[in-house]
Amino acid sequence: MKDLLPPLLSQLEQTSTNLLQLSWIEVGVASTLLVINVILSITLQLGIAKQLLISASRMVIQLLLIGLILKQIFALALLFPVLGLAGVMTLIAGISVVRRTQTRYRSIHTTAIVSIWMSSWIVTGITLLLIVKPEPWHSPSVLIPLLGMVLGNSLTGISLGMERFLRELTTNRDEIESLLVLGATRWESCRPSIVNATRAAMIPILNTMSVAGIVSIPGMMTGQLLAGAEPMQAVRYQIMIMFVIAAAIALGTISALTLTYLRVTSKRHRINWSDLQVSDH
Amino acid sequence: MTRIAHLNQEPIIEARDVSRHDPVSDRTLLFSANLKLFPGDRLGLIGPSGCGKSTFLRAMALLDPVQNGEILHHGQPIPPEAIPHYRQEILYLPQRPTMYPGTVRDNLAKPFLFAAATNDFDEEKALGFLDLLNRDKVFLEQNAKHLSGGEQQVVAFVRGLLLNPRTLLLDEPTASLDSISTQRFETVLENWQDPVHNNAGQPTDHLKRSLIFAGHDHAQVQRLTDHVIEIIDGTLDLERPH
Repeated sequence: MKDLLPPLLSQLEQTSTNLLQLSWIEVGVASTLLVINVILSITLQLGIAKQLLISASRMVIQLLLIGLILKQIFALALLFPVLGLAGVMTLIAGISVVRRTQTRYRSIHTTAIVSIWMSSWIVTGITLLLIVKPEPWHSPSVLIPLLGMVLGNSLTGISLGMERFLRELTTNRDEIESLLVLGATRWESCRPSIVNATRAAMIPILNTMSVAGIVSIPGMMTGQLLAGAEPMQAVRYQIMIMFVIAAAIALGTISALTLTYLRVTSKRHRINWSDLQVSDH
Repeated sequence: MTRIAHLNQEPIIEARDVSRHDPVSDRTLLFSANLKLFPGDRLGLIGPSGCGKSTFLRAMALLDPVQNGEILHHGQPIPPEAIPHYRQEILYLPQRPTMYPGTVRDNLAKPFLFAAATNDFDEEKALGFLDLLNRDKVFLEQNAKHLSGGEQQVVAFVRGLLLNPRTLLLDEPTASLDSISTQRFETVLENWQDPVHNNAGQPTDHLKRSLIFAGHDHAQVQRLTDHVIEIIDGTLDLERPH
């Protein structure tokens, strides 16, 4: 497998002659496509023109910044800067998990950060050490994009799972409590909600896997093809990454739901209703 | 309360200085409640809405954390692992019945799927109770979610009785029932409380069942219970006669 799956950077170097170089002028041309969205917003009075410009500007600034940071870290290729960046990325992903969660409890951020940290680092670690095996193992050109893909997908899954579980708890309060009254343990009373939440978390990756290659060429494969990679090589990478992402989502969701369950229920087989707060944002 | 009759007995449940404070509303819902419920006791709980009747019954069913005091079962604190079984023995029937997707039969059989259940769902027994409450076999096949409020209360009541509880904590159980159904409900409740007889026809005293009946209707509460306690702003008024 090792010789079949060379690290991304060396591959990019090998194929840099094939790589379609993009100048800032060409990026500028692409930015004019945003005008279509602005016109649409104004003619249909969608009121999203301002939001569009802010979001687009944010995206440009964030990517420029990460570009500069990556350039430095790639040049250094030292362990601690790489792990530092990976840590910051994981922390931000953890905080983002609960950004749109309406039902919350006090330590919800800790739950999200611990879950995404554990699941994404375990899965990325296995991928680096046993599958891709770059030299050195912390090679930033492999570790950072790989972790980024795992985090981005886990974030969505864990977020959907936690939101669903907490929403079910508050909307089905009577049903859940009635089960407790009839002698259910806390697990028996929460199990249906946890099952639904796990399903909700896994649906996006299941959909992505089932249409991969038919409806769209997945992002990583697209990148490799644009970079001039041999199609079958790009396919192998994409299959591997799909398995990795699915595993990270499953692990992260199970961990997040278990921690949430332990936090919102009591050993005395009841739900800590007063710890659950529903916010409007 | 006629404590003389209970001299040689230990209470089934005892609330000792139980206080409950709700951190969300920052209100104290129950002030240092003390109560002993003995085998065979029929206790009424009256008071206006929001006075703490449900809070007290929920505390007895161990559904909310209490800030002070404790609930004892046969004189002992209840360890976490015994709570599901305790709740099947000391059964709380909430004011709003909850139905799950499926038929009435599915709903009646649901508690028997839990690990705490000691026996299996007995359809004959269920039909017996339903018959007394004027419902026939067809009722078992109905979609529980489509039942009226009163019918749901009947299902919740039968679901509770099938668990063979030792004590019932009833929270306005006839609020949605019409007068005929209420009458039948009361008859079933009275029959249920009669001591279970052994093979020789002698009442087996240790199986005497007890109940707490919380309601608005003074006449009904007095009809169904031997002793009525008023609850005012979260305080049990044990002294005042009714």
